[in-house]
Amino acid sequence: MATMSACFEVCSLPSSTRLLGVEPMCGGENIIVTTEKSVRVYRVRDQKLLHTWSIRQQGGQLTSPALYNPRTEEFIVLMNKQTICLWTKDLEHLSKCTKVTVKKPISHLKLLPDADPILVFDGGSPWWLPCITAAPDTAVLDVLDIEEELVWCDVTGRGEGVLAVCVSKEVKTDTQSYTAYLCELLPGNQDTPDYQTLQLTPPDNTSTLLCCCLEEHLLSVWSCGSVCSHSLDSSLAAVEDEGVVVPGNVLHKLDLPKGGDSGVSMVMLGPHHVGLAMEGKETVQIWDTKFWTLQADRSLQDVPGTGVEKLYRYGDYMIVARQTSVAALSFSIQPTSLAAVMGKQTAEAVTLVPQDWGGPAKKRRHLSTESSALLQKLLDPQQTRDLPSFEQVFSQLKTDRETLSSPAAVCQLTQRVVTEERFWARSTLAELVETGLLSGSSSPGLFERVEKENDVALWRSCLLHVKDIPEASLVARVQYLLGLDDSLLEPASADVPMETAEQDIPTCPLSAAKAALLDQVLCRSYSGLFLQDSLAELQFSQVMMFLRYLHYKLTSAPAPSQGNQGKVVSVDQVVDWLCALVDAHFTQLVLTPESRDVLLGLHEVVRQRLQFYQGLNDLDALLAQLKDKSPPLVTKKQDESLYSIRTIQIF
Amino acid sequence: MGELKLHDVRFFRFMPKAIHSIAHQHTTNRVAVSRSDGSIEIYSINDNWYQEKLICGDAGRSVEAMVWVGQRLFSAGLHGDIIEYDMTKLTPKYAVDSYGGAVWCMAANNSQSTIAVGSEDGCVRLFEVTEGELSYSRAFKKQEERILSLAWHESGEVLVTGSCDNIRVWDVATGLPTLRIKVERLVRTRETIVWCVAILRDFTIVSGDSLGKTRFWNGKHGTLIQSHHCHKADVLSMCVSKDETLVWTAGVDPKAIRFEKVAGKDEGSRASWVRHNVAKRHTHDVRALVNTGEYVVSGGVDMTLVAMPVGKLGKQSRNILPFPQRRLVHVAETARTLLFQYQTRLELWQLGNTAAVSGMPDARLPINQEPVSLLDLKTKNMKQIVCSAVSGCGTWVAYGNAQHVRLFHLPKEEGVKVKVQRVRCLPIDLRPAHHMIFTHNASGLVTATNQGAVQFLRVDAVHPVLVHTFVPPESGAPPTPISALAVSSDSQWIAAAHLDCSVHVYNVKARKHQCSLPKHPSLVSAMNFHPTEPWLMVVHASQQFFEYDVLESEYTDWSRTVQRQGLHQEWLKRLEVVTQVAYNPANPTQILLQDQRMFCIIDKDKKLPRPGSQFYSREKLMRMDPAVREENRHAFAVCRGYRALLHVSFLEDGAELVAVERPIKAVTDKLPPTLSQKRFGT
Repeated sequence: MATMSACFEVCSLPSSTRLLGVEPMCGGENIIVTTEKSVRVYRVRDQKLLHTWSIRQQGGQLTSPALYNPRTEEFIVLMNKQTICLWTKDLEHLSKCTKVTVKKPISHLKLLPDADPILVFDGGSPWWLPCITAAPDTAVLDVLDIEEELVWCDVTGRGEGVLAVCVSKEVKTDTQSYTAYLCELLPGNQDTPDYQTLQLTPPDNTSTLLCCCLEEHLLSVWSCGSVCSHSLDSSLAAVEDEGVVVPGNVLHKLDLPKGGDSGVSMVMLGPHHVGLAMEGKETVQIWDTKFWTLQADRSLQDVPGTGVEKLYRYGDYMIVARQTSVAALSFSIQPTSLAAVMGKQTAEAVTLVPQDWGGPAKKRRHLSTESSALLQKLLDPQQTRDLPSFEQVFSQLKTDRETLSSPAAVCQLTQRVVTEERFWARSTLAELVETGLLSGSSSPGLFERVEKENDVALWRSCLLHVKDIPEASLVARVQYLLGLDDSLLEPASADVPMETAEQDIPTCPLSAAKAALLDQVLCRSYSGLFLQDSLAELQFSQVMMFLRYLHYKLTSAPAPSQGNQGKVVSVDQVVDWLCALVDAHFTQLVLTPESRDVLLGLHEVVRQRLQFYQGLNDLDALLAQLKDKSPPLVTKKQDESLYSIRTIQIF
Repeated sequence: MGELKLHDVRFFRFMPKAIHSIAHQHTTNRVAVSRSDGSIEIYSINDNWYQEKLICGDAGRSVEAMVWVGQRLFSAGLHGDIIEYDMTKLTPKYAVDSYGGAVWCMAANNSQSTIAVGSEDGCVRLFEVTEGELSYSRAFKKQEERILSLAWHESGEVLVTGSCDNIRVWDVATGLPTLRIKVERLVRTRETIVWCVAILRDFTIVSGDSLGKTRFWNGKHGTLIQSHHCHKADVLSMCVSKDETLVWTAGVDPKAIRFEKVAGKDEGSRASWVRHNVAKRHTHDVRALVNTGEYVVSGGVDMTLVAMPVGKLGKQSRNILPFPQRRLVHVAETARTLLFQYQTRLELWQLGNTAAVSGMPDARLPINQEPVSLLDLKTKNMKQIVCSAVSGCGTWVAYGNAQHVRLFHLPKEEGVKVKVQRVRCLPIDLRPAHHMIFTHNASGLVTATNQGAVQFLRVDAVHPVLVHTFVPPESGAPPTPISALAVSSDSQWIAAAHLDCSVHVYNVKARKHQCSLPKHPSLVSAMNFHPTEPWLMVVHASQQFFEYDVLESEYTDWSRTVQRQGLHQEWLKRLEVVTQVAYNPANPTQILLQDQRMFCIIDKDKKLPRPGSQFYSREKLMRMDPAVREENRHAFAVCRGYRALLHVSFLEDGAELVAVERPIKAVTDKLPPTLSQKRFGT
């Protein structure tokens, strides 16, 4: 299995210069983009240009992608094939860099992690860079014959040393022959290295080599579409001989676009995966090399630029060098099995974590292994069977602050506590609730369990801290409160007037403590429609009680204002609840005689309110007239006069 | 930084024109927008929607339809000609008669070899696009009604046209209609006009008509698949996404409605088109709608170009103001006069004055001298002005149209308000200009010619002399137009920024090319020289800016510091392109940058805003406690609160600023009434 994220552009390139290559820097976070005239360092994460160096003088031209050697913290690039330029990050002009000129043209610069850079000369012989910089006049022997031409070269780590593989092409009459030169370099070895040759046979006589990549075997793509694997077993190779002929093992026939002779690019992504891009197709593909099945395919049409020049891989990114831009995409691969290829294995939901490329990098929260082990322990009913053991593990877990700020962990823990029948971990639950990370939908059964334990203090805390409680749950809370025995409640400090002197104002039907709690429920956000559906579930006696309370609230609640939203019940919230309640139980209320006096009282209040608002309406008309007549206040935004002079202060 | 006196000028009555058509160039991602005065603007989407080119219109030329063929742009209109434009000179290259009168619609086939033109006489004509030419190929069978819309099938073998009351499908090989779909009328006497058609790969025809209906037809049998009555009035424009699963329509009712193809629930059932969402970004008729892949670009009578991102949530849509992203206002710093460039006339105003020395911050000062109009200069034959300039002393005014450069002398005489003399004997070699600027001492006029060269003219009331023509160094590629021009105050250096992103600096005294700046991938939108040092400040469309020492051929230390630290995200996030940059003549450490919504004064001595820190604008800083303000202030003093700022510059003493704004409301008030719609309660 393999997946790729959407492709995004890292940088665009001026169309006039040719891209030489892209190389990683600092473990793949930054990339070095080299064109013939300039070296630029971009940060992939936010596509920011960090450094740029360019060649000024005429005639100078870069000939290899620039490398960054983390050991010496130096950039290395080749200029005009024979000059090695070395410089550090702080250099301002490329003209001031350290230059080493050698006698023979250099073809490639290569770098493996934890090793010195390697130079590969046009003649095919690889050298350690320090050897050459220390003694630029070292005689370099050509490995290739004169007719041969170096077409591809790469290095790979082998044991302590490095194996350099160069593939050369020799044009004979109407056939082409390809030879691979294997050369093992040992660190610190300054002698001319020995080499072995292998003759690569093309799958058919007319096809040419398009691209290679190196793993244990040498994978190559030929113009006939064949993908071949050549074994690089050094025991086969003969030292400085004609070269042992290695037959290519044709693995797969690719469907190459017709007429395209050059544009295939391949990169190793893992032990059994390669990334592949073909000219003429604006896609990047991931192939499995074990079974040669297409694993993933991603179109590049969203990214500006055309064609695919070359693919690179750094860490979890594939970098796509295009004609006018450099793009990147992240990928993930899983080991392939035959079952997966046959479609027998159900693919696990492999999702790439979407990353916010525009903004600053998000820190992904990872629980430490220790914490996740503790968490597992807490979640497993078998491991924490009783309250003391549970609380002990929890107190250990609490030391890691990260855990209690992870919503997933808090939700899981809450579920465990709520569903645990054998013990009641109240203090743990109280702490979990106070994190404020729980929401109504992610903690089903929380209120029910707290209500079952008759723990009013915790219940109140839940109501304060749990976000987004659904309407059905709110109504269930009201139901619970209305049925709650007053003895369970400690006398609240809330100053609900129990009795009032005037006759026409109804008295509060509930105790002060209960009313305070009910107000908290009423303050929560709701949608009227869902409320009505849920309110239909209430028993009639509760409806009456609730109706009386709302009636009382309607006479005493303050008018809506922005300041105390969510703390004190305002009139419009009361009206909303009232409407929903009356609507939900309308028939029953009309038919039952005992509700009559409440409804009549309610009507009286509503009528009074209406009268009051009508009065406000009149006042509004009066004030509006006044506003129309008075000249408008001139503010800077509205100032539309044709000409004005003002002083501005610049800070 | 101190106090500045700001003149807020709002009497520049520039009236932008309505958008008539939009065409998208796929390979370079550019958009051509034509306006009702026949002018064409070309925007580079990749380069922050920078208005790269402006092709001036002509009174006798209308642009109803545009087509890109490769990099070549063709237009056609009601005057009955098909015109190809020279993209370097920014003028029409040649015109081909449509042979059928007014052209209503035009489209190129998928292989971009043929252009089909639908015209007044009811004939579809094909024109072959050849190297450097457009040649008439043949005509289809004539129909009665004029052809108002047409579209090619992807195969290039089938063409569909829309006209009054019917839609026809044509076989391109024979030129005969294969199908005629009759569109019903709502009222028997009023014909239904098919304003826009499209044909998809599977031969589904989409049409938008004057009844406000968007309909999907089976193009093989001519049967109606679906009809959506979503618009309250005519559907004028339509575009289809590349994968043909989305269709957008808009029209007189300025909503842009998106239709999405939804696959049937079962295996065999047919896919249906579902009305998806509605965007109301315009106030008036939407005349043109184009899908660029990333955006849906729309424009119409309300003149604003709107780019709505396709499918990407959270990406905000962009409104591109209808004002050209180039200098329309020129200030004579010493003479305190303003030159306003309208489409076909110039106005010269004397700036007002105040006696007050200073006042409360942001409070108005009493004006003791109102601004006075000095001159109103109309061009001959209503030719559109490409560029203009006024010298610092206010005695010289020049303008250029597509053919000529004209120079006027305004000698100062006692008792006369202003006297204009046209300088007649201009050198023959003086080429038509795209940009022009007077040198600081008013002895020379520097013009950017339409062939990418720079000319230096010694100004004289009797006999001006062309001193030298600076040609950009050979690079192999053909010369590109100049996008910005600057001349140093000692008249020694001239800098010209080209549309291929190169900037060349010329030495006037030595009459040679001095150096070229390192290429930045984004276009130069504004640049200017330091008043005393040979430093060139270059601002790019990507919001980056650099200061370059032309003598030493390197970036200045301050510029390096800025680049090393990186510009603040808040600065880079701005959508508008900086159209002007200037140094404070009294205090050159202050640099003024202006775009259409704000201006900003950068003080080089102040610390740069750290990336990640809060980026406070001037208005926010003003409201702060002085101690807190001291902590938070930074080098960028941003003055927001403008909606269409056209020009800001310093006057000579450096203590006064002139800001020319065109209030959007004044522009929209002059628009025709919108479609009246019954709203609840009205």
